[in-house]
Amino acid sequence: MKRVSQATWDFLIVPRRCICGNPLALGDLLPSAFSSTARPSSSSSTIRSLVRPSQKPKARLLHTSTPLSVIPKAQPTQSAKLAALHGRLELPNKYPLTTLGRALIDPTAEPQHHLNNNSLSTVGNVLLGYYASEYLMVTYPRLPYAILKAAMEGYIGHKALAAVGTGWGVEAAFAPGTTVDPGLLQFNRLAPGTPWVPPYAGGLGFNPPMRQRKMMPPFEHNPSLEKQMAAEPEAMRRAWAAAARGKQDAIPLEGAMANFVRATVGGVYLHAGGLLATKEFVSAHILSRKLDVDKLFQFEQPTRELSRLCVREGFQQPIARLEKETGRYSRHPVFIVGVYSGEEKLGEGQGGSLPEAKIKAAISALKGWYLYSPVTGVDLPSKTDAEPDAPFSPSFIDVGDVVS
Amino acid sequence: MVVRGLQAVSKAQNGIGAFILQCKRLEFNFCDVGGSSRGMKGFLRTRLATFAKENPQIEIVVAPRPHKHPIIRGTYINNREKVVCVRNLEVLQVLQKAELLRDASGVKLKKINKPVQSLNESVRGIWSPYHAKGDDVYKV
Amino acid sequence: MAAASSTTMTALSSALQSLTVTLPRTRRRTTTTILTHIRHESTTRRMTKALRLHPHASFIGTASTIPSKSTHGDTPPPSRSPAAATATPTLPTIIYNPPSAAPTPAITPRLFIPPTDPRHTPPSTTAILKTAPTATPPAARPLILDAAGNPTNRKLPPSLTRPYAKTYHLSEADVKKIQRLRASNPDVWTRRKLAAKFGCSEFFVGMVAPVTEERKKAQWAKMEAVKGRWGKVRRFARGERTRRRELWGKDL
Repeated sequence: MKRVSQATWDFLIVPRRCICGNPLALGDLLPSAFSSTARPSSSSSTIRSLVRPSQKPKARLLHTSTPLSVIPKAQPTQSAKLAALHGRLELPNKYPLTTLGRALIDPTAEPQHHLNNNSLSTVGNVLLGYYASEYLMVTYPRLPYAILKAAMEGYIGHKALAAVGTGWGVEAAFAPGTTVDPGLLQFNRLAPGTPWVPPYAGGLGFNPPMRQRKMMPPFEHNPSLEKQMAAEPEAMRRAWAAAARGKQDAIPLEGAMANFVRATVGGVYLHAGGLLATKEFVSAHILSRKLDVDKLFQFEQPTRELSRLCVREGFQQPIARLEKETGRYSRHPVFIVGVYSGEEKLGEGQGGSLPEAKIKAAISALKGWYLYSPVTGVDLPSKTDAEPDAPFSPSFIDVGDVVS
Repeated sequence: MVVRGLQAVSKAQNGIGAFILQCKRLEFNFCDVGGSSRGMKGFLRTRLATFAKENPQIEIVVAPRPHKHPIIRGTYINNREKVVCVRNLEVLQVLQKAELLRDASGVKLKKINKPVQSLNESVRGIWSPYHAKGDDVYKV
Repeated sequence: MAAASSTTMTALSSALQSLTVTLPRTRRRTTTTILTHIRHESTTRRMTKALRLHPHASFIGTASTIPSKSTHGDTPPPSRSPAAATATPTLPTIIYNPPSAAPTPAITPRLFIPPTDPRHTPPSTTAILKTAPTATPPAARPLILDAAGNPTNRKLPPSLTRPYAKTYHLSEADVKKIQRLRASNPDVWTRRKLAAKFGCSEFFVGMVAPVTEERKKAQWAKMEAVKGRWGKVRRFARGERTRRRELWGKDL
């Protein structure tokens, strides 16, 4: 496998705490010939090939026995691309360029977890899931779980995050290598047509089997996809197995870009001021995007669901009433049907036939129920992250989905 | 399952929330010998450092382009390029061109006829003859 | 132009007429250039006059229709009612002109707004289920009640199907009988026949006396055999119909 460039390594090779808990010392990172205070040989990892022979070991040995928990800013990067990206995102000076550079290295390009963005993207994914879910749950408290998941996917799924990363002007290196600018996204490209399991599916950690079913577009006949999935059961099985182990050796651009965005968010949390700064960053870059939640619904039996809803809530049974019609016996009739509970109108639909208009009226009524949104002024739960004693007005809590 | 979710991807609305400058790279090309690069070289010597400091979002590249007129090449987030020839221009004129490229969005120039372009639906909805009330009822 | 000369016509109709007059003229022109700008009147003055429409009734009496004092002296603004004439200084600032457009689910129906919401207004009492449903079916076109609960002379729109009430008339013995009949000979005692015999819905029969898995499979196989005999056209048409029916559920 190709590794990341020498230049990138030079400023990333700094002692830091490993995510497995043990502080990393330089002895782990340098060839044992260079380190005078040699660590036990069991912990010496192999990056010999990465340090040029001409390098002077003296400069490196400064931090040998001083494990640091944060990345020192001793090695400023020389990449103009990286600096421009830092400026474009208006990141504060506290956010080191080295972290941003590390966020651009995908695990598929560099498997060592203290040098790739895996840990950062894990932190970022948790935070993204937190802020996106609280925003959606407070804005649309009655949203069914399936729609909530779809909306989460729309905001922080890998497709959406890849669009965010592209919108930040991040370019990808053709392949990770020794001559790549540290300002480019480095990852190992997946061959086209190869099955792949996106990490952090939906931000909620769904089980892989659920994803597998979701890969089929619901209600759409997609013979090509079905054929593809039937033809490659072995490749699919291997992809699932690799995803289950957490080890995929290649990733498409979309996935790597999404990982980079997650890692950037994780970096904001770690360096730029904790939860408050992360909340601002997420709401500015992710949640400010446009997603029509009312376009995410696909009903199967809307009339029955509306009927069950009215029974549950103690409303009169809904009755569909014909409000307007034109051209009943023509080629293109139009019917306007309203659905009423008693005298209260719940929804209205228009269609070319009476059943169509009736179904659409029921859908309109159900969307009216599900898309209820409290007036502004309701606080997000994360308000108390910064100041625990702040006055808090709780959100509306709904009893749950309609079950029919 | 009574209701299913459809897949959708959120759309960018640059400037709502964060604003990302669309110009990501400016490349300044000059010629050492050509007289048309005089203003460009003056710009590079006197103004470029300030310009770069004021615009940290932009990656600045300076490269020679021997025996050709000087140009500024802007690269944008939508992966389009915009090139301006700055031959025989004075220092401030070159600065103006650089600012023009910085402020451009990179979108292909086109005539915009509608007063409003928006991702949002109209608040008043699409006019329908079936929903008129009072004096405005039409026979359809 | 004819429209401009007739002073009795309203501005709207004159504009419409001038449109009908000028349109054929532009069509008759046989140039290949695209006309980017079409003036419907010959002069600016006539155009302005044609566009000078009366304000909508809901705007009369509001700030936008009252002439400013600087141009028209101290004449009081025209008002529609004597009560408004006495209280001139306060003008309505919010004009409620609901659009002539289909209602959107983004505006939550009144019945669905929870009581904790500041926008909550009590819904019509007819929408709330106070007692258990009775055996008498609701009227197909009930009269609309006024605030006091008395019927007015306005009616709700007609219902699509005749409203019915659930009767719950079958006893446990009846259900047992349904199950026995269905099990004895499902070919004879189909859902439809049992529903007609016991006066209930086919859905209910299917619920209390479902068929065995073998019979279900056999029926599916039968249906597949029938489908296998379909030609290209019918198969395509049926598939398209199914697809359209599924698209109703999206309502995009």
